[in-house]
Amino acid sequence: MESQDVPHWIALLQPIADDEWIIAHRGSEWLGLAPDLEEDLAFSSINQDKMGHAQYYYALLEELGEKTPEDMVYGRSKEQWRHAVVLETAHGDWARLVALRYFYEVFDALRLERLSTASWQPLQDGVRKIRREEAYHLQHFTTWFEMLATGTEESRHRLREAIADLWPLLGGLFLWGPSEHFLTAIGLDSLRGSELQRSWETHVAEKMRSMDLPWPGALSSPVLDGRLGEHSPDMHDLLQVMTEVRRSEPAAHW
Amino acid sequence: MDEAQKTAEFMARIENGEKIEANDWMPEEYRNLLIKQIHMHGVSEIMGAYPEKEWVPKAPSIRRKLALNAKVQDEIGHGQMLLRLAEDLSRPYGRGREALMEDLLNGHVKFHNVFHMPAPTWADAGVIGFLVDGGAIITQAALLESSYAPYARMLKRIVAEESFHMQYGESVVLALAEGTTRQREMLQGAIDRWWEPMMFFFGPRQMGQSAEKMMHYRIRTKTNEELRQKFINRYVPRLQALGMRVPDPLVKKDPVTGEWGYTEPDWVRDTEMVRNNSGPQSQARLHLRRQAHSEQRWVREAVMHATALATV
Repeated sequence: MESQDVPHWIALLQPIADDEWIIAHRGSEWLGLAPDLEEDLAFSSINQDKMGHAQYYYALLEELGEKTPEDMVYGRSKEQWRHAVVLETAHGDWARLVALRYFYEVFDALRLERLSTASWQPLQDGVRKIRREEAYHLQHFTTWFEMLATGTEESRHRLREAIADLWPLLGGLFLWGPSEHFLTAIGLDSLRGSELQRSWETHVAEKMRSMDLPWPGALSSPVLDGRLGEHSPDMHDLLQVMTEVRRSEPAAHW
Repeated sequence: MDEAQKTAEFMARIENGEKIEANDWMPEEYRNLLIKQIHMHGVSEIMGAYPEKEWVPKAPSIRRKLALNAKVQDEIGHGQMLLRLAEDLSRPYGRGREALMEDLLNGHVKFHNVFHMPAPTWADAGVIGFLVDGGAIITQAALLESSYAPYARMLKRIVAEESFHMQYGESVVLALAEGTTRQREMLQGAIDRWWEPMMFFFGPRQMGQSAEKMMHYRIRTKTNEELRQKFINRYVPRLQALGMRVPDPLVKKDPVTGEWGYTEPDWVRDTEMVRNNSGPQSQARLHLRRQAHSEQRWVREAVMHATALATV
């Protein structure tokens, strides 16, 4: 890798790593709270997979000169996180979880598909393995999305409410920070936000049409752009909880 | 063949060391004892997820977070497997998963005393793995010879996983024991909290009627006191090796009998706590289970109505 490209790969990987970590952390809060025991088991596996993916991306970032994975997770202020704000939001009901995870999994699958052509070999190898797991995550939440959409009047109503609640925040997934030029520099123009968003909208619109769910309109730019380090009070709370034990004795081994 | 003859033949099989399978004929008393035992075991595994679950978001390293997440998942997995056994046994009574879960929420089935207790620090999350899972290995290993074959088979797998949990707990405890003064104090505090509940965990020396009957049917084969002695004998040296204090001055080995002394837990208070779900955390944890089960009934109803439509 050319040394002038290092910042570009960092700009690429940090949002992805943070997305995976934060969504998994929020997911792990559902332990013992899923609608039945079987789902508790399946969902927990998915969250553990995602933590593993984040760990892998953080290890690559460390190779590029960033902090250690531990310090990335436990040692950053709110403003230093680059995940999309929608992923840090506190829990709603199961319909909101299903809608969020379905929307995210479609997005992540598209992102990984394009990432698999990356010229940096270690990344390409990891992405190949990650995609095998992510295919199941997407299938899992597609099934849930369909079940709630076609279940009862209540589940359908709750799903529509959840979609309406999430929609204004989803645009934040497709942003890349101050500039997308770095994508050109590393030959990954296909990951441009507008490209990803177009594919995502095609895919999701088709699914929603087949489920007879109304299309809520074009995605808007979010009020807070997580890719620029802008986060909500929910992220403040999340960090307080996540680092509570660690902060109580920062120099200790745990 | 009449009922008395069938029962006599059944008892002959038991005394012969034969194992009973799910579809074999069994006396109703045997079936009910099994349901009682396995149902209680299953819901205890599920309730056991909650004291630790609250520490997953707070786990102080990536490695600990992944391990604790997987451990809590295992406990729920044990609960799920055991409830399936209890569901099988309850089929003649027309009772399934929903009914068995309702029993927990309505207080008709009890869960282990230890899971009524608070886990206020990270050290508690480690000590639960170290002491409670360690204690559970002892009680469950004693059930491996159970006359009911499906239970014995399942316990083999559960015990194997519990020993991973114990090692996880031991690793957390070891890090704290070798850590700073504050970490050691945190650890000692947790040990002080969990020691007495662990004495209660194995049940009274004088066993109750249904425990005696379970011995009779060889559903279990060891007395409460034998199991508690095994626990004390195993953990006193371990705690001493860590440089930690056993919080009971009466814990001493009798040089003649080899028996360990210990202070009796408050049997009356703790029995009432388990019976009435009136422990410090009983209601809060049941509330979490209610949130998962009752408040999300709408999800399970949606799944039932959607299956045919959604499977593409």
